[in-house]
Amino acid sequence: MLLPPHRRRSLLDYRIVGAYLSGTTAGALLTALAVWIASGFTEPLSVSVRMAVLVAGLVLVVLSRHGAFADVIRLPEAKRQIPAEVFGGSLVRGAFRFGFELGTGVRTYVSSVMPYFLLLIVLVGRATLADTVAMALGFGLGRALPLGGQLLAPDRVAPLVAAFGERSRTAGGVLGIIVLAGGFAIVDRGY
Amino acid sequence: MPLIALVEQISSWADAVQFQALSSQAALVAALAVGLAGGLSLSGSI
Repeated sequence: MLLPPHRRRSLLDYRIVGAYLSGTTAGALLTALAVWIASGFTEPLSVSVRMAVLVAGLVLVVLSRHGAFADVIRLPEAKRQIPAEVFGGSLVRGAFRFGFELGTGVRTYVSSVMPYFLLLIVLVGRATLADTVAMALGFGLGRALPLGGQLLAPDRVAPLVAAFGERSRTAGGVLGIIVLAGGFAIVDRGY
Repeated sequence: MPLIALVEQISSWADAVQFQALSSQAALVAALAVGLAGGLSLSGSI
């Protein structure tokens, strides 16, 4: 646990959370920029073909994780925890490295289909560089939000996280709608 | 007059650019929201 559960917070706790947020954001930016560069390969596709591939990709991701293809197709995912060695040395540096690993999404479990949606939006939808950077910043912030909430508003965060866990289907549905609606708003429609 | 035609063309371009700029601002907000939702979907207790 990055933040021990006590009420009095020290400057070190703020530095840990700040480092963690920097790490998640930096990791997300790295992955997003790599995928954005690769999205150049989809430029020859027409807009209609690209939209069709995007929709097909989204459906495939959902079916591979929750549906008919769950036993057939394995989505790319590192099925392991981030090693404890990242915390070797200072807590602040360890928090940054831990956040960076989580932000890239390539070194640990991916417990939701949303990151795959984001990657498809950038890769096939050909989001602009600015939109890709904004998406990465949002992802890093979202990844760090629970920890930031523990630091700044601990009495409110724990009940919210518990409610989120109890209503994970509803919460997941709401987040999915946001990702899909927002994603189709930023894909390159050839304007 | 050519000058009036030029002014009209520049005005038309300015309108087009402004629309693109507004569209981009909305897209940036949408992208931020999309990323936030994606990050939150993975977040749990740490």
